[in-house]
Amino acid sequence: MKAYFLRHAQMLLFALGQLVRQPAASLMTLSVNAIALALPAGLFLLMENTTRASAAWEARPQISVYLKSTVSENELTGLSDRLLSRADIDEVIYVSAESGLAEFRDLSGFGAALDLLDENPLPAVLTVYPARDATAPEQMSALATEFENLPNVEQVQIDLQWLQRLRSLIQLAQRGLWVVVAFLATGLVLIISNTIRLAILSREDEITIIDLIGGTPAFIRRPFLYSGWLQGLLGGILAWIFLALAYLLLRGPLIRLLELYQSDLHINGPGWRYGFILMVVGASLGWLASRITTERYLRQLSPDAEHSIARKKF
Amino acid sequence: MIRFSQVHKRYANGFEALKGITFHIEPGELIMLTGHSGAGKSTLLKLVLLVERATRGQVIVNEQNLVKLPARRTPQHRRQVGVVFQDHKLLYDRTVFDNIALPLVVAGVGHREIARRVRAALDKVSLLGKESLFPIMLSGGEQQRVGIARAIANRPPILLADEPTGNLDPQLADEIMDLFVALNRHNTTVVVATHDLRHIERTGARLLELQSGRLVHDQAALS
Repeated sequence: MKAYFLRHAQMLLFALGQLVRQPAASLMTLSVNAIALALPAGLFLLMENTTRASAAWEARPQISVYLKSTVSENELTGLSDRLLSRADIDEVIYVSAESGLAEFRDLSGFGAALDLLDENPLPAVLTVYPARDATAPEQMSALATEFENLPNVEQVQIDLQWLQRLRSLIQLAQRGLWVVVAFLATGLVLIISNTIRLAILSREDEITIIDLIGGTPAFIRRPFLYSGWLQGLLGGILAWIFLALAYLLLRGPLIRLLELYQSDLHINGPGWRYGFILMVVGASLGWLASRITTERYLRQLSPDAEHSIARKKF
Repeated sequence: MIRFSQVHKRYANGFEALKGITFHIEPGELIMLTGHSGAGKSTLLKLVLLVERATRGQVIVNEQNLVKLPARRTPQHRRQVGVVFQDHKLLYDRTVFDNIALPLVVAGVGHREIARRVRAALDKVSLLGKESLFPIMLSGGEQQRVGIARAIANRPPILLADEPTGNLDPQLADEIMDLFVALNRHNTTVVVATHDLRHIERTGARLLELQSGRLVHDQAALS
């Protein structure tokens, strides 16, 4: 058992030694691996931050009921109570014309322009939150039509569409991201397969001899599996470094941009979780790639193979 | 030890390398397998080593029917059969020690045992003290002896040699051949493919002669 682990440790060192012996070539291959891993990881990071940001914006579905300026205090309370008593409405919030103006002044930055106006241009608003089971688009528009026919109501607006659009946009981007991930993962497997294939070809004599003196396919495969696994793992680590560099370069300008939008959102960087996932994914894909490549090659060594390599060498 | 009955071998390209071969080799025998090139000597050795499978007939080696042996058992079978090649097939980026240790490493033998057996094999081929050299630093005869040491390191009951003296001058060839005779005395079944008739006379071994894939001569050993 000890000998078994010792042998595996030797294989790992051997695979590492092969990479170190050709530093320039190794670094180039590893960089290609790293880019193939860093691109989707970067997109994931972007997606994660966008989804979090959109979740912060995402309020409950609501209907804004703009009231005529002539509405009286009593009529207002009556309307509000009537709406609240309905089963399909959860909450009604009254925003008076004055507080609406104050809020607009705060958020829009048009304060000075508003001071020029003689009177408040904003209407009073009832923000109606439908009950959870009444938020389907058809139900919402039915409610809106109903509200429009109420007395004292100027206009009704459903603040839902842009949210739905944003949501489906994010869904589309997520789907697209998985497509990109699939392509780049395939690319990574092909890149590592190719380096493994070249390594196999350059050691064909050795493989033939080991096969002829009774080496099992597992024994022949082992150094290549280690090599592929190691390439994937190192590619993953390098990808993480690339990602961290990109993040550090972009973080400053991004924070300044968010400040301009007066957003208190903070950005998530590629943390340990990203490093861990990149290493695991890289190592797994590297292992898979060399497993596929060696399998294809080793099949030719079987005595039942159509074109055996061993037979032409002996 | 090795039993062929009505063995045919036809390659994928249609070439019939062996046609109805039948013979039986007892444990501990020394066999000279002769015939012109293309007569089927190499194919016969390949069948014994399970590099190829017989198209028809039975090949029984060490009480195992190779026709039925599943491919995944091939490595275990090959560990029972040492092979010496005409071109040595040594690994030139590894020392003599590592070359001879290879079949032992492959078989999962422990470190100390490997060192012991490598030295024993080197002793048998009279190359003790050269274990840390690289094959390229050795003469052709010495390289072939390293090849033999590798073949016997795992102490296989059967030893095959495919034209082991093909590239050597007569004196070196005789030395190598004497080595096979000596190994045979230690109870190893030895089959040497050669077209050099001199060896047959010198060793007095049993002779199997192939001609165009047929066994045309089976001459008992002179004892």
